[in-house]
Amino acid sequence: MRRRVGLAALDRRVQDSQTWSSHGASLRRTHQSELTTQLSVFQAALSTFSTQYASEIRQNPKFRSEFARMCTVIGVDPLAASSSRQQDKGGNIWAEMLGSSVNDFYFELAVKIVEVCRETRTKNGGLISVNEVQETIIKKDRSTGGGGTGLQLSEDDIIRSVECLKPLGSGFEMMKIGKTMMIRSVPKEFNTDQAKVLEVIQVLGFVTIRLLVDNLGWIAPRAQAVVDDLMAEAFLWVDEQEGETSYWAPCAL
Amino acid sequence: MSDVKGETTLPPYYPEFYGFPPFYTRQPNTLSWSSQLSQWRSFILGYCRAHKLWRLNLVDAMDTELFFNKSINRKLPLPTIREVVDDLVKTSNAEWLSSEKSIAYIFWRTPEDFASQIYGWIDSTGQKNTVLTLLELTEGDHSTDQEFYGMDQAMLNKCLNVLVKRGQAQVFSVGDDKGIKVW
Repeated sequence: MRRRVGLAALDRRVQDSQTWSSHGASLRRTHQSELTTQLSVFQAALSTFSTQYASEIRQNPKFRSEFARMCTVIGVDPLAASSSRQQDKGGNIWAEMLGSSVNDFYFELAVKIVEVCRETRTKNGGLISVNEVQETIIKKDRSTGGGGTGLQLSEDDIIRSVECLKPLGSGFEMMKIGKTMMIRSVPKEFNTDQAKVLEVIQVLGFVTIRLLVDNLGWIAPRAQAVVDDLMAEAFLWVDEQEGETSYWAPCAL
Repeated sequence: MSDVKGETTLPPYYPEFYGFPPFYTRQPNTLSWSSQLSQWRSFILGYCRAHKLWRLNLVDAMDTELFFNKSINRKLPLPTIREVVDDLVKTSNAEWLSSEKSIAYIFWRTPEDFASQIYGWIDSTGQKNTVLTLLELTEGDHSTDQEFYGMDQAMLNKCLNVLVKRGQAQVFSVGDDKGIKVW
């Protein structure tokens, strides 16, 4: 044993480390090939799944949102998939796997959402509830004959589609007023006072200056200023035919 | 949402905002007013068309369901009604009977459109080159299913003038009545 202390020990150490590294390398190789196999199996499965259920994905909003949720959980963004269509394969790998049905669905929907927001902007100033967008699109689809079975849409679909407009910098934002999800299609940030007024309208249907003063403890000029500002942006409509002037929001209809 | 029209389903020509109280107050904001105006415009035209109304007496109409929504107790004020009708005049969809602006003809189709309809009807019924009285056009037994059936005579004259100007018709007197020949 003591002989090991000799010069030969140096050689041995080199030998040892070589053995270890070659062993490590082979381990890595097996690992990698295993992962590759797993990945390709997974890709194939996901791809088959999405083609197999393509029509289901398009037609059944519940199924679609579950599918989208599953994708999110495993770190796949079905929307990012085709928005980053680059030359190199890395960019659109998901698009290839998922087929185009899922993301196309959301993009087509996004176009319809933009249309509805534009068309209704004069009446609501550019603030519209997700619910109204949903109903309008379904109604439009029905009147144009649509895809036969009729378009099925969930609130979740609308929200996802609006999110995929973000990279365009188009100023379409989701916002929550009270319990209602809204789409804001004009570049306007609401301050807390304005948001508060809109929230009260969500609940009561309208506001008056007195109502704001009594319930929020604001002084009248503050309430008036907030209301006037929202009026100027066409978010509120005024009613002067019953007692105190009241303010209503078309988006809260 | 369309449900603001109320629980009972209203005919499709009723505007989306029929049950929205501010719809009966003229909106000071230009953007909102443009939306309000266009909804009122199409409502008046749709309403008159559905009820076959040819002229609108504003004061009388004020208390009908057209301008008065009883369920929410809101009424479009006379000056605003006048403003909307004035706008209809701009697009040949209305015409004041006098400068007092109290009664207006409502052309739910423009005179040009009605003229084409009348011409089409005469053509398709093989009555070209025959003399028809104006009453035959609007009260005759054969035109009952036509949109221009029952049209106010003064309005009819205006529509027929379009045909005369186009060189497609000639209007002349037949006894007390007027007649028209189309070719």
